[in-house]
Amino acid sequence: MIEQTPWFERKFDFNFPVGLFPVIVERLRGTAPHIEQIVNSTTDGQLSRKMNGAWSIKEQVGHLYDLEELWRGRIEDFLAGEKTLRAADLSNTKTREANHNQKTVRQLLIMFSDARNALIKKVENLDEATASLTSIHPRLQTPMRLIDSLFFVAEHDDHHVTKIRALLAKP
Amino acid sequence: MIHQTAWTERKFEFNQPIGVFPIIVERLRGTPIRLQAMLRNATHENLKEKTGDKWSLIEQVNHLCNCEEIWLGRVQDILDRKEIFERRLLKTDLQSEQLQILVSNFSAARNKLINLVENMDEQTASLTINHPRLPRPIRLMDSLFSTTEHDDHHLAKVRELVIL
Repeated sequence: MIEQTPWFERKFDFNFPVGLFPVIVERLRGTAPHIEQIVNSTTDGQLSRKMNGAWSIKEQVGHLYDLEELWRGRIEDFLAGEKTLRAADLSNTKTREANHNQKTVRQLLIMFSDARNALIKKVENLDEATASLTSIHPRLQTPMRLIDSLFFVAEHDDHHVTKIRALLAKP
Repeated sequence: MIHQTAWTERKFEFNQPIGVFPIIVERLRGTPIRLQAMLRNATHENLKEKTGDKWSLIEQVNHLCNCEEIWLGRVQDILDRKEIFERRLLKTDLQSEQLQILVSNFSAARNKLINLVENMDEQTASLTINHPRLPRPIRLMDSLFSTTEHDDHHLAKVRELVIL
């Protein structure tokens, strides 16, 4: 089994053409149905199970929901012409304090799905000039286009979807 | 509306660490699921609708199906330690005009690919082969990455047609 690279060790080349925008938006649309299918017919016990202090499946889904506000906020930053994008809380306080394990996975999926739809609505009809607006990413300290920030979200989604799959596979 | 880059114009650097392999496999698993979710909104009318010489929705899905044998064959070429990918033509065995049959064929074919690769170790995922159109060898993992990108290219095309 190949060990998954930790999120904070991932590096990205933001050098793809703006013509990838429709593909990236489609990836963002696909995350909620993908998770829904994975967790379908899984017991609440499996979904809430925490192993070695790591997040449970419900906490992974909740974390994706928690970050939607940041992703939408960063789009606002691009549109407002901010030099640097707002920073993420690297200690994930929101997820740690949200008690996601007390919610049902259905509730979490609806919350995530609604928030994701709001993000999609904000970006789906953007033109090339807007998708190419540039700002500095606070942690990576590199310039990033709006399209790159959405690519970053798609990669972050897939990182956690993969974690969810791995948690389900554990005995 | 931003015009989508043509598949033949896409360029890949294939420089991701091997630890991205599980994510690539999960993206491959996700394609039939996302396709099915998207097609819930497709009407009977827009299945065969064509704009100019562009593929219809049913042609897009048929293409995804037809490609599966190529992706599977490429992984097999690498496992067989061939020097270069064998030249393969698109097969039409899984083709159908019935969307549900088509999606189910695609899903079954994709499961074969997943079963072949999901438990690979680092060494196997790093095996390399020459690609007839690329200047340097690519890894098995890169070949799968290219499949995920090809999937997403066509899912974006399908979305455009579902919205129409």
